[in-house]
Amino acid sequence: MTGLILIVDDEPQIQRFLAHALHAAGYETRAAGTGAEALVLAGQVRPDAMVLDLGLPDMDGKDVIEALRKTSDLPILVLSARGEEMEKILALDLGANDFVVKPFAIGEFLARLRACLRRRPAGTPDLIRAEDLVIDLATYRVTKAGEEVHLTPKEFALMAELARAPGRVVTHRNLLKAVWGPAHVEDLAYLRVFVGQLRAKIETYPARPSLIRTEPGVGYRWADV
Amino acid sequence: MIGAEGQVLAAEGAAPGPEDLAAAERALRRGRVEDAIAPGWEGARMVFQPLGAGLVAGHAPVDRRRRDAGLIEEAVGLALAQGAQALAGLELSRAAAAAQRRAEAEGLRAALLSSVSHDLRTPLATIMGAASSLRELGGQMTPEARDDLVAAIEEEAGRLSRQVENLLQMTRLQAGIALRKAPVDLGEVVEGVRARAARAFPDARVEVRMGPVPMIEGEAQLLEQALFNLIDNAVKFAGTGAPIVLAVEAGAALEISVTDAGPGIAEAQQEGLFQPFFRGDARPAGFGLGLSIAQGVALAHGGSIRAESPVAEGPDFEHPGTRITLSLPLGAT
Repeated sequence: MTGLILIVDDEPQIQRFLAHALHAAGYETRAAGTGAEALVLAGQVRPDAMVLDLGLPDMDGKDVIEALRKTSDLPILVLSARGEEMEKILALDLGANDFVVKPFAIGEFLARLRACLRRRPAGTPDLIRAEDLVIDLATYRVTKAGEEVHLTPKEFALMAELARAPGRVVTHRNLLKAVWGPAHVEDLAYLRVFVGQLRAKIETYPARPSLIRTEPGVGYRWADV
Repeated sequence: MIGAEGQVLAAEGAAPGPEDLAAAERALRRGRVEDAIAPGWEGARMVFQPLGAGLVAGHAPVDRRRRDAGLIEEAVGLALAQGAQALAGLELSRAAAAAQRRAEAEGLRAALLSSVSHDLRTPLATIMGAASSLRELGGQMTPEARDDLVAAIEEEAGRLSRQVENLLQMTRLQAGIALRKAPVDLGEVVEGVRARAARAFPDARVEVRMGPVPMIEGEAQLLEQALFNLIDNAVKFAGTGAPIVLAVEAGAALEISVTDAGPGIAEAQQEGLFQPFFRGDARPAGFGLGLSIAQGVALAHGGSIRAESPVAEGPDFEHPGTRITLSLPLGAT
């Protein structure tokens, strides 16, 4: 995987090690230390993704996301601190694609970045495969190890929403909005029950889910292929 | 006037007897006026009225035979009501002050948590990120890149270590633990500070100006920490472009100052400078505790601390600069 990554963090030490790591992984980088700089650079250099720290000195990281999302669907990976749960969720709801909590090991960071960068190629493949599951988005059929699995329309929609973005977290709010509509974005308990039912049907070991991972307090994540 | 525990708070004329005290207690308990017993009978000779706030006021009954008895009773009633009001007001302001202090303590604690977690987290994030990068991607890196990452780990570990030390000192100072007094050779302290600064900030130039100076009583380690914090502050603020001057002068008091040639500190900000977690507008992170520890150390030694900016200096400095001076009494105990 390659591309130009815009690193937005006011700490020079963080910029330093991220740059080295991203170069070693084959990416090119540019860096910005403030929200204002980030917005300017994003327009100028047209990066393939942005790594955005939420704790910027001049602007709220969330404001950067909001401003950016008005005109662009640039993949954004947010760096948050432990204890900043609310901030993280709000950032995701505003349009950030995924998050990594500091301090983090580089492996996890790179995996989430890769997932953000993964674009559905033109002419979306209608078939999604994960483990022994095959999902046909065109015919709404699902098979597991060759056997047909019967899902209700809502269960299918829920699964598809997650499976379309493998490796990326989808917040509770966004899931509820996508499957049940904006009026139901607070029905967290409902969602949990549904996910439980879905897991029972598609997971090999529903008690130890490997296809649908829980991101506590935030949402769910489909397995990274 | 009698308090909740039956103690007489103020009395004019005859002191209340045991029956009076019993009547007072009844008035307090029942929350209403207890009349005096009619003359000739056994019992309380005073009228008692609760005032609120656990207090009761007693007075000799007004002589009913007087023509102006009604007016006098009214006046007494008014006076007592005003007294009650004043007490209620006092109680309120005392509660408000206590609530204010609690809020400040909470605010300080919240600031401490926020400051600590931020200041510890960034070095940790760098160490974790750099170390894992070396392990997973080291093979794809140039030797220079690998070297830079290792250097970053070292630097951030040092920063972390200083933060932790500052925190421990702060806790100690706030707990008011007494100094471990001993004769202190300032020359040694200054040398220790210079060496530490050289290791922590290899690009900084620290000039020491110090003549012969008498020994003082104090804790060498704390003094070293305070001075190091001042240099740390100067490096953060003024950078390593111009030399930082550490000067020691013995006059009426022992004055140890750290001067930088940086952008200085605006007058408006100078007041809160030594408060813990004071962060000016665009100051780099980690400014929370260093100066306030330096102040704590100065105070613990019976001295004081002050800041001057701009520095009234000669030809050395073009920039306004900042000087922070620790003033310690000579012959300090």
